[in-house]
Parts: sequence; C-alpha cells; structure tokens
Amino acid sequence: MIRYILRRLVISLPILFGITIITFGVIHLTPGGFTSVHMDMNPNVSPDSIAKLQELYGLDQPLPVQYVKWVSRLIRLDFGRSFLDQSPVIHKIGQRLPATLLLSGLSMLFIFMLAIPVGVYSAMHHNSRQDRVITVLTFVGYSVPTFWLALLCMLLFGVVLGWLPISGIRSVNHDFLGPMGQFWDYVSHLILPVFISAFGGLASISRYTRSNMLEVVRQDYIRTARAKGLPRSRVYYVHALKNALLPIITIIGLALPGLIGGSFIFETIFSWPGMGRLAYESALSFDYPTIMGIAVIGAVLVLLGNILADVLYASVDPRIRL
Amino acid sequence: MPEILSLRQLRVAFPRAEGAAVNVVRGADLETNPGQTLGLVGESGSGKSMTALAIMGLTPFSAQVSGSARYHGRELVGLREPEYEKIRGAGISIVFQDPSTSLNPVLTIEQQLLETIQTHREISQKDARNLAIESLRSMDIPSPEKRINDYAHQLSGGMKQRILISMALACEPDCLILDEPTTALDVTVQAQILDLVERIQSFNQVSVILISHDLGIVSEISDKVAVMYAGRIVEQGPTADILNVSRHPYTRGLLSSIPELGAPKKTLATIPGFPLNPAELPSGCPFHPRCSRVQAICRQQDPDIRHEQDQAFACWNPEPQHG
Amino acid sequence: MNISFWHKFKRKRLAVIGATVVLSLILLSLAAPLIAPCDPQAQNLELRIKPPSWAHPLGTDEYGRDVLSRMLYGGRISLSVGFVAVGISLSIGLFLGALAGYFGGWVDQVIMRTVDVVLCIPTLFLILMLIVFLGPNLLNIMVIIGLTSWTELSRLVRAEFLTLKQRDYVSAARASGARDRKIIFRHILPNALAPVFVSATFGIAGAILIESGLSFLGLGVQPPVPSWGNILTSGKDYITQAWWMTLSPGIAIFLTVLGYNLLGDSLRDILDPRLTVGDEHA
Ligand SMILES: Nc1ncnc2c1ncn2[C@@H]1O[C@H](COP(=O)(O)OP(=O)(O)OP(=O)(O)O)[C@@H](O)[C@H]1O
Ligand SMILES: [Mg+2]
Repeated sequence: MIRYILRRLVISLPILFGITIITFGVIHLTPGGFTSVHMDMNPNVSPDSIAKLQELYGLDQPLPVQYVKWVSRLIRLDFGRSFLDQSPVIHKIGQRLPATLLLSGLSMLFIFMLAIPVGVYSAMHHNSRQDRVITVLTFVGYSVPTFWLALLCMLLFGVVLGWLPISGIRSVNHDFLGPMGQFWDYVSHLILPVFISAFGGLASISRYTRSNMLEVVRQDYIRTARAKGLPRSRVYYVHALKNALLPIITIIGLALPGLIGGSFIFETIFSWPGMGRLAYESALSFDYPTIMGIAVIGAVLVLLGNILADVLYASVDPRIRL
Repeated sequence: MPEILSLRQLRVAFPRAEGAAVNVVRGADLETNPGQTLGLVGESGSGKSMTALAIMGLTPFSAQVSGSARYHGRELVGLREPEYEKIRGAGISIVFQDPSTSLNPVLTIEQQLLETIQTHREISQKDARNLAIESLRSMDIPSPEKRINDYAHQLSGGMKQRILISMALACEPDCLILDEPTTALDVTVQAQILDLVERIQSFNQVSVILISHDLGIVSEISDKVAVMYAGRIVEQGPTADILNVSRHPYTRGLLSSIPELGAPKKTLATIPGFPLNPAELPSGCPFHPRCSRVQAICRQQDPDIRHEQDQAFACWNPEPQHG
Repeated sequence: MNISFWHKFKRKRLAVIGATVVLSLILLSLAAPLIAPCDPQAQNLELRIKPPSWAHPLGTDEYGRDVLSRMLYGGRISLSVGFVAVGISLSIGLFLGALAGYFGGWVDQVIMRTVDVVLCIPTLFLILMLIVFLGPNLLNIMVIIGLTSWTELSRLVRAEFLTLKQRDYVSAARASGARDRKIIFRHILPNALAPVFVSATFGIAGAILIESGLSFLGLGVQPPVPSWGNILTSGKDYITQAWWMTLSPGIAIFLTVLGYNLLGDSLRDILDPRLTVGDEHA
C-alpha cells in the first residue's frame, strides 16, 4: 500500500514539473514581459513591487535560469508577496484554503449522496416515465448557468423568503451565539453555496451512474446472478451496484478540477472567503504573484485528489494488487 | 417416464422498428428425462443459447417468448418473476457459455456461493459455508476452503467453470443446462470437465442439457441428440441413431466434420456456405442453399417435422434410412 | 450525411427540439441588425428601468437601453465565442490527437503527458490567469477558451486514430505506398469525424457557459458592448425591482446551452452507436 502510494507520487513528479512549465510559460506570454503591460494602469503596482517582481522572477536573466530560480523558490513554498498588501502569497492562500476545501468537500459529498441513488433509480427504471423525467432534469442541470441559478436562489431564499443568508461564512453576530447557534450559523451559510456548486456535478454524476449501471447490467455475471434465482433487489444493489460504483471513484478525480476551478465563480457570488474568491480579487487587481500561486496550488490539489482517487480505487477493487 | 422439461413450439422473436420481427428460435420441441443427457448441437447463431435463456426466463428485455416450456408440467412461459426466481437455481440451473465473464469480479467465490444457497434454503451461515466447501470439493477443486476466499481473477478458466458448475448444483436442481461448457477451455481441461458432467448426470440423477457446436463432444456423453439449424430443431433422436442413421443432410454434414481421433481438427465450415443471419432467412427450408439434396419444393416451403421410429426430422428429401 | 441519418434524427424528439433552438438562435443573432428595435448602446435616461412594454418587449435597463436589442446583439457574442473557441480547440485537438494516435511512440508520449498536465490545472484558473495577463476582450476570451479546452478532444481523436489505423484499408493504402499525410487526411480523418463532431457540439455549449460566466464576473466582454453575461451582471443590482433584466439573459444562456447539449447528445446516439445503451439481461 505504502509502496503503491509512493510509486504513484513519483509518477506524478513529471506532471508537477509540467505544471510549473505551463505556469511559467504563461508569465512570459505577455509580449515584452509581464511587468510592462498592465503596470501603468495598475494602481497597486509601485516601482518598488516591480523591482521585487523583477527579482523574484529574475527577469533580466536568461529564461532557463529564471525558471530554475523560480522553481527552487516554489519548492520552499515561496510564491512571492502580494502586490496588494505585501504579505506572502502562501499565507494568503493558506488562510483561504480551508474554506475552499470545506465547500468543495461538502459539495462532493452532496453530489455523491444524491446523484448515485438517482442514477441507480433511473437505470433500474430505464425508459420509464420517471427515467425520462430524470433525463430531462439532467439536461437542465447541465445547461443552467449556475451563476444565474445562484442569483435566483439568493433572491428566493435570501430576499423573498428570508430563510438563508446569502453571503459570507458567518453572520456579524456570530461571536455572540451559543455553540448550537454558531453551528447552525455555519450550516445556514453553507446551504446555498454547497447546493449551487454541486448543481452541475449532480447532473453529470447521476447520468454517469445511470449509464454505468446499464452497462454493468448487460454483463454475463449479472445474468449468472439472475440465473441463480437471486431476487432482483440483490442482483441490482449487490452485484450490479458494486461494479458500477468502482469507476465512479475515478470520477472524483475528474470532477475535482471543475469543482476547484469553478470555486472562483461560486465563491465570488456568495462572497465566500475561499481561494476562488481570492483568485478573483487578485485578478481584478492584477495581483500576479497571488494568481500564479493559486494556479500552482490548485493544480497540486487536483494532482493530490487524483492520487487519492487512484489509491482508493486500488484498495477497493480486488482485481488490483497493491 | 415423466419428463422434467418439455418444450412445445417454443419461439423467441426480436421485434424490429421496421419490418418483421427476427425469429431466432422458431418452434422448438424438446423433452428431457431424469438422469439423461440431451445434447443440443448447431452452429453459431442457430439459437441454442437463446433456447436455453428462454427456458430460464432470462431472454433479453426486448425478446418475445411464445409457445410452451413446461417444468414438471408447470408452464414457464409468462411465469411471474418471483415464481421464476424460486425455480432458477433450485429447480433448473444453467452454466453459461463463457466462464471468464460469468463470475462477478468484485465478490468472492464464497459470497457468490453462499448467496445462492441462502436464497433457496433456510440455513445458517456456517452450514451454508460447509455445504459450499463440500460442493466445491465434489467438483475436484483442490483445497476448497482456501479457494473459496478467492476472487474470479485469481482462478484459471477451468477452475472458474468448476466453480460455476458447483454453484449451479449447490441447491440440487433436477435440471442442469450447460451452454458450451468446454468451448472456452483448453483441450486437457475440456476432457476433465466432460468427465465431471458424466459423473454429475449418473450420480445426482440430474437431467442435463448439453449445448455445443461440436457433435463429437456431445455424442460421447449424451443419450439423445437434437440438431438445431436456423432456430429450428431439424433432427433429433437417440444418440446411436443420430450417429448411424441420421436423416437430415445437415446432420450428415456435421457428422462428416467430426475429426477422427488424433486427426487435426476441422470445423463446421466443411459444409459449404456460411452460417445464417436469422434476420435474412431464405425462403422454404433455410438449409436449402447449402444442401446437396435440394429439390424444387425445398426452395418454396419449410418442411414439417416427420417422425420415423425414434427419430424426428424436418426434411423434404431425407437421406435414405440405410445408406 | 446520408438518408438514414436524417431519418433517425427526425424520429428523436429531443434532437429536433435541440436543432430548432440552436438554429433559431443563430438566425436571430445573424438578423440582429435587421430586427433589433433600437441601437443596443443608445441610452435614454428618461426610460430607465422600465418593465416590458410594446415599445420595449423585454423592458429597459438602468441606462434606458432596450434589453431586447442588447440581448440580440449579445447573442452574436455568445455564438461567435462558441464557434471561434471551439474552432480553435478543434484545430489543436485534431492536430495533436492525430499526431499522437497516428505516429505513436515518443510523439504520443509527449503529447499525452502534456494533456495530463493541462488537465491537472483547473481550467477556470488557467483561463483566469491568461485573462489577467492578456487582458479581457472578446478576441482574447475566444482564444483563451479555445486554448484551454482541447484536451478531451485530443484524447478522443487519438483513440479514434489508434483504432482506425489498424483497419485493413489503411494497411492497404500504406502497402501501396501512400504517404502519411495522404493516409491521415484521406483515409483516417474522415472516419474519425463523427465523435469529434459530437464533442464539438458539447464544446460550443461549454464555451458559451464559460464566456457568460466570465462576463458575469466582469472578466469577459466589457460593457458597453452587450453580452448575455454582462447584461445579467448589470441586472443583478436591480434584481428586486427589475426582474426582466436578469430573466432574459439567464433564460437565453440556458436555452442556448440546452439546445447544443440536446443536439450533441442526440448526435452521439445516432453517429456513435457504441455509446448507446442497448439490450440487457435484467
Ligand atoms: N438482443 C438480440 N437482438 C436480436 N437478435 C439477437 C439478440 N441476441 C441474440 N440475437 C440473435 O439470436 C441468434 C441466436 O443466438 P444464440 O446466442 O442463441 O446462438 P447460439 O446458437 O448460442 O450461437 P453460439 O454458438 O455462437 O453461442 C443469433 O443469430 C443472434 O444474432
Ligand atoms: Mg450460444
């Protein structure tokens, strides 16, 4: 097991290398180097910070030297300092990361808890009216712009009904609430963001579960199970489901980039103090070091998520020896 | 002797969006008796597996089954699912064509065996386990108490087939269908499995339906043989008669393609022409394009079944009885 | 496209709905200059935030501009982003996928590992980063979305090439001395196009969603040029008084994306029967 994880980590090193190459490439995409373009109109950039940037990226040196210097800083988790407040980028990200992980984790949980039963249900009743209704709903789920849906939900639950708070992670009076009150305060702030960020995933995972189930149900071993006289429920929920669920574990890995990348839209809409909103704020203020840091950290998170999914898969599927 | 299974004009059809339905089994008549083995032979696509699936009530969703299939006199066609579940595995069992895909890859052999036993019997986990190990042992599986914890991918093809057979027999059914039990296995294992089948049939008093496209294999261990072509049983009778005095030209063709012992194996392709597509059957007798004894009427009308002595066959111009 | 394609297509209700939606939206945006009642940027402060009326069927916005006209012109933006971005990602995806699948070996290794890397970086972060460096304008948005969405496609094309190059007619062509380029373009590519076409249709839906999301956050097409995303943004501040300002762009984005998704799904069913679910035992 440990050896498998180690091997998996080692295999990921080239990918990590690739990530830094691409990020580094983007910095140098801007013709004439990125210190030249938006700097004039960017009030956050003082000559001082340009100098710092020059130093961080060693912009006067040849590209390979610049790259090596930059990477050796990254390894020490030195992403430079923010243009906005001069604090180290890694601290800024560190502050925001837990909120993002909380939101993505809960959304993921919500997606799997709802989407899998729905997918199984519609596979079991496939081509029935219920299945068709679910199919139409999944298309709607794929197609609704979530930021618009967020707006409508905020209007309905936040403004018209007044049931849920629509921004931030806690209320202004949070500190004056009792323990239960504080807990509920968090929960109520989480409901809308979790629901909205899970929305797209719900559609695709339930669709995926459905088609997986339908695929599995055609396999010979399902026919064997039925030929043994097992009741339908056991055939579906034990024999078919177990096989259908395995590949869904890998989907966790595939869904991760969307969830983490999408966080910048949801978090901005709900003023959620996470990494996504930080990315957005930094984008608006051309805070390059922070954006670069977030991109690298985001990619590393995705990479780790993929490794986790692989390890999980390997430990659940008896066909894979660790 | 009361028959265990009796099929009368059993049909399986697949309706199509356009055009007439495709008939893959076109009126099969068969009987099986206790302790006897019936061999069902025919080339690929002739409808052997579909006949077996129709008996088990496991035809694909879109198939339409009609006619009659009785098990101890009880009609199976149209039987409700919960009733069928009581018969499957306990009364009639089947072992499917390909052992490599017939076991669930993510459940242990133990889980798959025990669930079968416990579905049909009120029995404790421990007794069921002992029973399972015993039934594996009776199938010549070495150290069954270890093998039982394995997953399918850890076992060889022959081992999987033995496990599938013992799973099929675990609840002591009186009818066992084996769909090409040896096709996917290599030669030495084939012989072992066939031995096993012979033993089962004499020991357990089970009536066996042995499906194969190899008349040679079937004739070795069957009491009766039925030959299927294009969804119809074109000839059936006692094995000795089929081997010696077969009447249908197709059966003769199959016989002449049985390899001599030790001779290199030939295939059914020695009969001129290619296997049929059931969606495009020729008019008249479907075998006529490949038949050496073809007459005018063969092209126009499908022959009815004729009974002569113990044999039944469907041919306008049968081979002479002594030839 | 042969007869049986149209035959199957017409029998699918969702396909017809999708195609109708997509075609009418294309027509409406092409005809925008002809049918828009007003200049989309003409302000009229006396007509600020007026509900729908005969003169302004979708109402007016906070500058008194006609929402319908802005929607029609915004539609042109969405569609051009969809088509141009997918055109770019299609070119990259086809090119790299074909190279990897056809030549295999180290070419394949290099390209596919690059794909792995790009897939790791959350697309929206990558887009955000590029926008910040290149600046938000229509052209950049189209290019950036195109540059970041070719990975799935290249995998798809590669897989197609891998199977197709094993086919007899390809070996025959190679044996008769045809050059690689001819084999790729004449013999393999035409047969690999069906799944590519399907994926491109979904790609348009995705690109439109991303563009409107970016514009919604002020990182896409910049006002006063109308795009559905930025119409939605300006409506957001008036959502309690002026529902029409957010309703029309929301529904427009939704319908367009839905149309392309329905179309893509039906095309997949028809063109790529491997993926459709057929019979089963249970
Ligand atoms: N779902 C289906 N829809 C339409 N036709 C089908 C379907 N399943 C099977 N068939 C057809 O039914 C015919 C009989 O198939 P069957 O599996 O019974 O043949 P078989 O005699 O067992 O052949 P083999 O020796 O290859 O196993 C075949 O021609 C096959 O094409
Ligand atoms: Mg068969």
